[in-house]
Amino acid sequence: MSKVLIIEDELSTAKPVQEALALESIQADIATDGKKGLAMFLEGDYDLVLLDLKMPGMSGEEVLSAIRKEDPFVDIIIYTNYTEFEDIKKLANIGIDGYINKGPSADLMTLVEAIKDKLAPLSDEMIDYLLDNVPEED
Amino acid sequence: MQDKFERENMYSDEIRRLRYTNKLDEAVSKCKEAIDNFPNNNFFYKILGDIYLQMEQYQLASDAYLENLKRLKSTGRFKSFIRFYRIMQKKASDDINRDFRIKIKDAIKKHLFTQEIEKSLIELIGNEIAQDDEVMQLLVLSDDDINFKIVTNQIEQWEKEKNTANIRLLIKYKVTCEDFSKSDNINRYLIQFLERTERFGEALTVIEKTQVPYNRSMKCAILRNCRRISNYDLANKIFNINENFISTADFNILYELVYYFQSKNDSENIDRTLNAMRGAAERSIPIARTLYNFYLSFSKLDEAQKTYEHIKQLEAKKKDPSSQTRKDEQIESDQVVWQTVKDLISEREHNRQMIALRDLLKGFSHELGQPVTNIRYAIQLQQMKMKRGMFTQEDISVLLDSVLDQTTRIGKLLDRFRPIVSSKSTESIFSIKECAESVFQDLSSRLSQKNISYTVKGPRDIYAYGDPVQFSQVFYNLVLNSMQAIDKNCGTISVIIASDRKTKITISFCDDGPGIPPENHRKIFEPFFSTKDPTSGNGGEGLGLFIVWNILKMFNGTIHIDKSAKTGAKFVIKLPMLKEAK
Repeated sequence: MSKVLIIEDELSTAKPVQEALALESIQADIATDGKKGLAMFLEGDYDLVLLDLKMPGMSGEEVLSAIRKEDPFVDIIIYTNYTEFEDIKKLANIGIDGYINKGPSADLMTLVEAIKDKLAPLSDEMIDYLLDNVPEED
Repeated sequence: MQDKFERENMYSDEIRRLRYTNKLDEAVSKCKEAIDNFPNNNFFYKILGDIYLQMEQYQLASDAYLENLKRLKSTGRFKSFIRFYRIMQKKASDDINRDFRIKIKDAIKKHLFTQEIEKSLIELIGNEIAQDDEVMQLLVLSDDDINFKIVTNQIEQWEKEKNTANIRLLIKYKVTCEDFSKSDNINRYLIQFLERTERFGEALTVIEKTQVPYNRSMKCAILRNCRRISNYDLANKIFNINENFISTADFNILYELVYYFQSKNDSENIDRTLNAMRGAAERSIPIARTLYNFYLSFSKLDEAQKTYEHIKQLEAKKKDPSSQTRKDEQIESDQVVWQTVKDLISEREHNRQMIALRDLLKGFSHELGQPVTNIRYAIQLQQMKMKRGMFTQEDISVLLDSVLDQTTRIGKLLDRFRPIVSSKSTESIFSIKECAESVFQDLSSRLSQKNISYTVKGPRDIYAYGDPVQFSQVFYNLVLNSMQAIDKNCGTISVIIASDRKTKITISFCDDGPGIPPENHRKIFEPFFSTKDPTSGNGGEGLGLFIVWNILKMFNGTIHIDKSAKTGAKFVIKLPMLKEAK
């Protein structure tokens, strides 16, 4: 089963995400600050990290750099209020795999879909494959 | 038959596992092995293409997809090819895409696709495939100025058709071209064209790579394009911009040089350049006006006035050189010029205020995003549960509670911002001391509850101009801040207002609370910096000092922490002296 780590200082944001992922049989743990998040990541075996940028203490950007130093491959999705292009560009250089908007356009379903997509990147093709291989009538 | 299907499935699973663990090279060889074993299973070509795409090996990816396309029997799977083609256009280089188009075209010519596929291809991407011949022809023509008319007409045509791909191709060809000696005019045209269509960076690249002779207009173009992209690297690389460069420059270049030196904060050379401009301004009204504007923007008001008088003289000469009313006009113009100067300065003032306001609103909308997100997530989670038939009575009350909580939070945020946003803009001259006293009076019951005493010292006749209600927020927030800091239920706050009777007003604000730890000195004015718990409901969103800072910015003032304070927190506010009160 896939495991997701949510690093977010607000439980009112993190909890619904955790529950929604549980509905899709994806296990998610919550860390309420950057330091805890980093420690949990290094200990646990996570397939994907959902990371808030604006947190007290260790900022999301610092967490991102620290995780990338340890693991250049794990999927990291940033979700944040930031809409400034420069910020995202900077983060893209450190290495992120996705970007989800908070605020008025926040959408839990989109977030869950994005996470599912990252965790199972081949599902579409498998469907294609199975369709292709439906035995033809001679 | 069943066995074959299972073996294919095994390959497919294995490839998926390799991709999933990011062993892409191994996935490729596994895929190739599968193709060798099952040459009729077209699916593996598509997977191979997808893996190459993931590896950003666009050439190989396009080859694999082309093989897949050749083996397609019906248009059922054609959609995934088109999807791939579009991704290539976005991600792969122009060269690879051109190659890809040529390969598709060759395959069409050789009838390697089924008729149905061929028809769909031409219908969907036929225009794109056909474009290359025309482009290639033009690229070759653009090598020689003899073809100037044909080439420039075609560029205009493309621009009209919004065919940026071809224009980009031409630029690319030009900057990689080795022999540029015979096409200076076409190159120059292209540079002008790029500047006209606001592709300044590309214009500079063409200038650099095609080595067009740097005549006067090209010098100017280089500086101008550099200015537009706020990067003078190329100008610095090509020219040695020094005193000599200034003295030999004509007006257009001088104009650019002002901006050039401004970007370097080189005030000495700005002066030198403006001086050099004076000669040209001697006889020309437009040039004199430009010079006048420069003087204003650098706040060189004496020179601005002189230039303005000079403009008036020039205009008078032009109208009627022997006019007797000239003297009267001049007196009048003196008044006009100062009005203009004042207007311009207040306009700049206005811009500064707009920037302060924009920063504030940005912070505000940023903070508002969080509760909005929480509300949306809370609702959407229950919707997801509902769809699965897992929605319970308890969920309803959890949902309602959390939505209410978040709206309370939004409400508090709005309350804190109201004084700034809903300024009644009743601007007047007011006494700073009276303003401070009224705030303490408003808060007097809360102050006495916590046993906090206060003093406000300083002359009553130190004034500020603006919205007094807005300014009172400065004191209001500072007092609230101190009240929260003083937790021992007994303390003093003191305000001292002073001025040097010339230019500056200084307000010092101190309390005898625990003070501000040095590590927070720098962060304390940032929005949403707080050492308090934001959910405590007692302020603590970290807005107080940010609001103070913003209001003071609107009043052209500053605030900083006095680090030398031994006990408690001490803030020092500086405001410019009101001119009328001098």
